[in-house]
Amino acid sequence: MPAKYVELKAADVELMEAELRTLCARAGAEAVVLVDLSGVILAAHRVSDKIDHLLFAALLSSNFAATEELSRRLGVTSFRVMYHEGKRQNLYFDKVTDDTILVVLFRDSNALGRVRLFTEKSIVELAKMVTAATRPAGEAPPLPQAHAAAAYLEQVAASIQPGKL
Amino acid sequence: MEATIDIRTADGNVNILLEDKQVGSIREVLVDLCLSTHAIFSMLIDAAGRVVATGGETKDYELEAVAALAAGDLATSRQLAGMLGEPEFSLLFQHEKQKNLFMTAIESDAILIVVFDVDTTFGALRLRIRRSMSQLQSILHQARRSTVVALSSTAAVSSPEELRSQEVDELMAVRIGPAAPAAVRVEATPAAPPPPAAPVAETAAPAQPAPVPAPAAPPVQPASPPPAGLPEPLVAEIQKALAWFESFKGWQLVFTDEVEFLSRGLARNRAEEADTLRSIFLRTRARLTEQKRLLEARFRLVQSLYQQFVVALQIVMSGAWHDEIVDRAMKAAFSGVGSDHNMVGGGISKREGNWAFDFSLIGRSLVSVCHARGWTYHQGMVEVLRQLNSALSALSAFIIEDTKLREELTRQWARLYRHYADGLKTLELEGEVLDLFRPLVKSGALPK
Repeated sequence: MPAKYVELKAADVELMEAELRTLCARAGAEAVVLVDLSGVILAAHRVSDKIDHLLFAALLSSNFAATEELSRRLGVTSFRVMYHEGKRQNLYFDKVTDDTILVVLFRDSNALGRVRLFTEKSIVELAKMVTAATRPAGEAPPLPQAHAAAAYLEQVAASIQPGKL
Repeated sequence: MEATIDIRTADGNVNILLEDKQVGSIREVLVDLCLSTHAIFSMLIDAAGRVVATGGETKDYELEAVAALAAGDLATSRQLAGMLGEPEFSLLFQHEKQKNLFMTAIESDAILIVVFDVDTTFGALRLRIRRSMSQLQSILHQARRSTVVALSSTAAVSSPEELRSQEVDELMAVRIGPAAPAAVRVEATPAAPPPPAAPVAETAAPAQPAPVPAPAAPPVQPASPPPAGLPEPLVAEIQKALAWFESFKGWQLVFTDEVEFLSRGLARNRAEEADTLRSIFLRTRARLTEQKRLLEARFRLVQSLYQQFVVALQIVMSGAWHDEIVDRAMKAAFSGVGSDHNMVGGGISKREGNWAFDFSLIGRSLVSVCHARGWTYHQGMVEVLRQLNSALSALSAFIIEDTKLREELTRQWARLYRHYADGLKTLELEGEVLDLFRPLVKSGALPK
C-alpha cells in the first residue's frame, strides 16, 4: 500500500491545467499530460479526443516505469528524462515527483531544446502543486469527492460510449 | 552452414534463422559501432526479448534482463506510436552524468540497443547509427531470405522425435513414397517418385538429418506413367489448408510467406516442385499445429485470468454491494474501457439491482475483434489484459478510500498474479503482462 496519495481539488486541477496551457504555448507543443505512475491522468491539455485517454495514460506510465527499471539495471540511479522519437511526432517524458510524470507531445518541426527548456521550468511549478496536494495514506479523503469522481468517470464513459451500460 | 540463432517475433514465432557467419557479421557491426562512437556496449535483440549478438563491454550488465525489459518497453512504445498515428518510435533515455540508452527497431522483429555515457556525443552516435542500421538491415534481410529458402528444404522440417507419432503418420501419408515403413499409412494413389531435393535447399542446411526417411532402394516404378502436374492428394491437402488460412485472417499474418509460396506453387502446378511444396506444406502445418496449441493455451489462460478477476471483484465488492458509489464505480470503470470493441465491458451487466458477469462473452468478442482488426489472437489477448488493467486502475480510484476493501483487492490480485506468473512465463507472455502490472507494483497495489 502506498504511504501517500494525491488529493486534488478542482482548484488544484485548474492551476495545473493553467500551467500546462502555458507550457504548451511556450514550448509549441501539440499536447501535454500530467500522469501519475499508476496510470491516472492528473491534468491534461489538448489531448486529442480520438485517443482513449485511460489507455493512453496507462501506456505512458507503464512505458516510463519499464524504462526506469531498465535504467536501474544499467546502473543509473536518478532516471528522469525519456524521449521517444517518431517520424512526425515526438514524446518527451520528464519526472515531476517520484510518482508523477509530465509528458509533452510535439511535432518534429519543433526543437527538442525548446521543449526541454520550458518543460524544466514548468516542472518546478508542477512539482510544488503536486507536493502540496500529497497527503499521507492515513488521512482518508471525504466521501463527497468519491461521488464527484464517480460522476466524472460516468461522464467520461458516456462521452465514449453513449447508451451502453 | 548450420543455423545457430533464431530471431523471434513478439508472439514467439521464429522468423529468421541466423547462420554462424551472419551472427559474426552482426557482431562485427556492433563492435565497430562501439569503437567508432565510444559507446559502452551495443546489442541486437529480438522482439521476444532474447539477445542475438553483442559488442563492447558487457560483462558488468545482466544482458538477459536488459533485453527482456527493452523488448517490453519497445512493445509499449509501439502501442503508443499506434495511438498517435506514428509508424514507430525510437527511444532515448538520458542521464547526462551517468548512462544514456538509445533503442530502435530494425526490420520490425529486431531491436538495436546502444548504451553510452559522457564519452559519446549523441549527434555523432545518431549519424553513425544510421550506417550500422542499414548494415544490420541488409544482414537480416539476407537471413530472412535464406530462411524462406531453408523452409523449402526437407532438412528444415522438425525432426521426427520432436513431432508426435500421430503427426509423423500424417506426414508420411502425405509424402507419397513407396518405401515407407509398414507401420505407416501409404496413400493408394500412384504418383511420381519424389525428385531429388532442390540444390538451394542443400546449401541452406545440409548438416541436419532429413526427418522423413528417404527411400534407401530405388523406388518401384508405378505401372502408369507419372502425371505431369503435382500429385493430387498433395494438391487437395494444400487447397484445404489454404482455404482454412483464408478463414482465419489473424493467423494468416503469421504465415504470409508460406501461404504465398503454396498458392504460387499450386498455380504453377509443376511435378518437379512437388517435393519442395510438400516440405513447405509439412513445415507450415507443423508450425501451425504448434501455434494453435500455444494460442489455445493462451486463450484459456486469459479467459481464466478474466474469470478470476471478476470473482475477485465480486468478493471484494460483496461487503459494499448495494453501495451507490460502488455501483457507479463499476459502471464507470467498465464502460469507460476502450471506445470501440470493448472486450471487457461486454461481459458485465446489471440484473435485479446487482452487477452480473457473463464470462462467455469475452471469447466471442475477442475472436470478432481480432478478425475485425486483422490481429493475431495473441495481440487480442494482450489487449484484453490491457483493458482489464485500465478497468482495475479506474476501480482502485474508488476503492482507495476504504482501507479494508483495498487490502482485500490487493490480496486477491497478488494471489492471482502469483498463480499465473509461471504460466505466463511458459507462454512467453510474461514481458507484456509484466508491463501491464508494473504500474500496480509501482503504486504498491501488488507486491514486488
